[in-house]
Amino acid sequence: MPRDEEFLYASGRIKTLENRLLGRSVIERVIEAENIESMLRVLSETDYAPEFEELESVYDFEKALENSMIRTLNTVRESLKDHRIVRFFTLKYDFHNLKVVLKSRILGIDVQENFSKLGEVPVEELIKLGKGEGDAEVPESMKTAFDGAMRLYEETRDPQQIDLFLDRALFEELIGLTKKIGQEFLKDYLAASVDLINIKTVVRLKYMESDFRTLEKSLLPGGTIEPAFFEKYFQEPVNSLIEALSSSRYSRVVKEGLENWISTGSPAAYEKLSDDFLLGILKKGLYKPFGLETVAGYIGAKENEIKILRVLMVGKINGISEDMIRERLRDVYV
Amino acid sequence: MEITLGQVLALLGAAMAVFLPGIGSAKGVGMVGEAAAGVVTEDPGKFSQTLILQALPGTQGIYGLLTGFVVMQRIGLLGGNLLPLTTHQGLLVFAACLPIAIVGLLSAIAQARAAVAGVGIVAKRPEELAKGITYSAMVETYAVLALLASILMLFGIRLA
Repeated sequence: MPRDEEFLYASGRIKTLENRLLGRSVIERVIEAENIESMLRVLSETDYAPEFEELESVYDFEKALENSMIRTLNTVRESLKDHRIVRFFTLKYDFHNLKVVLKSRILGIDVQENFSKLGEVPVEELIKLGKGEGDAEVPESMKTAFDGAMRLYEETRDPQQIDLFLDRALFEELIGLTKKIGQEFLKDYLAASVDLINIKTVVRLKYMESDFRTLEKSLLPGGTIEPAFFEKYFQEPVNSLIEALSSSRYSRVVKEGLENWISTGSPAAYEKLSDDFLLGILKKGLYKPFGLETVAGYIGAKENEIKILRVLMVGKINGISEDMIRERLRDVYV
Repeated sequence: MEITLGQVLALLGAAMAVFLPGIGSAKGVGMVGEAAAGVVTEDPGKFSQTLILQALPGTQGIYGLLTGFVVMQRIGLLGGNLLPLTTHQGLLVFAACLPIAIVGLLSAIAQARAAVAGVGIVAKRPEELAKGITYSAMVETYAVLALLASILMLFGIRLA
């Protein structure tokens, strides 16, 4: 387990960088911006200025957001000797890339633009793996996941199975990683994310009228709520799931989020509330002077901020009303 | 001149009074320095403010050295005329050194943690530097009390 002292330099740096995270007032100004130009003007006064200045068209905003995240991750990496905490956050991008490789192999098309630049395994090596070249420099666990997913596809011919299989592989690797790092804080964060995803999966599959087998395959490992619990409530109305979880720590997320889902038919409110809940766990890092929590909190806060900006940009570009954008906005870290 | 066990014990006490708080201060000043370097990497203008905080856990090492000097002076080591201490006298000197030796070590690290938190204050609200210093300086009280106890004991022991 890394000692808090190993994060002193990184924490000092992050305490300064936290000042540059977007606060409520900046986000309000973006929402209230009359047009895209004035929105960009607001952003040009923030930490995103260099990335947005490089953009040729505002429609490429994803690139700017991605580059800003790359800059953040590099700053954290160069401040730490042990990069495992960064890996905890970047692993999902590598698995995303692995999915892209697999799907392009199955569909026989090239989908270069879908690759995320935030992954740590070079995309060229993943492409090599996709082409079946044996010498691809890809971590063993990802190779195993790739082979497993490929085999599963050949058996079932169902591309959705690949997603389920790789999601499970990703979370299994994350569980292993948190065990290796050995910090309760990170284990707790991961367990809460798994629980919230699993709750969502159960409700989603109920509405899709899926079968039991799909549920079994879709539930992720590593949560605090046992699969047996979900299997039981899979057969009962959503309201009884809300009731059953009313004494858990997710009670507020579940009650407000799922009730909204029942009445509107959209999981958007639940997703927003679960993101806010997870950010609440990460906020421990904001109040701890130094340690892994500070670093994890900052990376998580930045990911959250990019989600907020994505909602804002999409909303503004498509001329969606201020109120509707506001409804979907996540909480902020600072 | 024959060396007595009492002299060895007294010198051991002096050595401990110097090296334990010394270790604590070195670790403490190092900790605050690391965090301060992180802040200054992003905001070089905060050098002087963080430097004040970095210096705070350094005092325990000075208190330890001071106690060590008092022992050396009391047992006549500085004048080159080492007193022929009995074992009991040596143990008394050794015991007198313990407060600053132990409290110095631990309080320097505790103070450093408070000072790192103070560095966080400087990073966010540089105008509140004084509050960060105050929090950290509160820990100093106990190092000073330990120093006082050690010095009073050392001057109270009858050696000649």
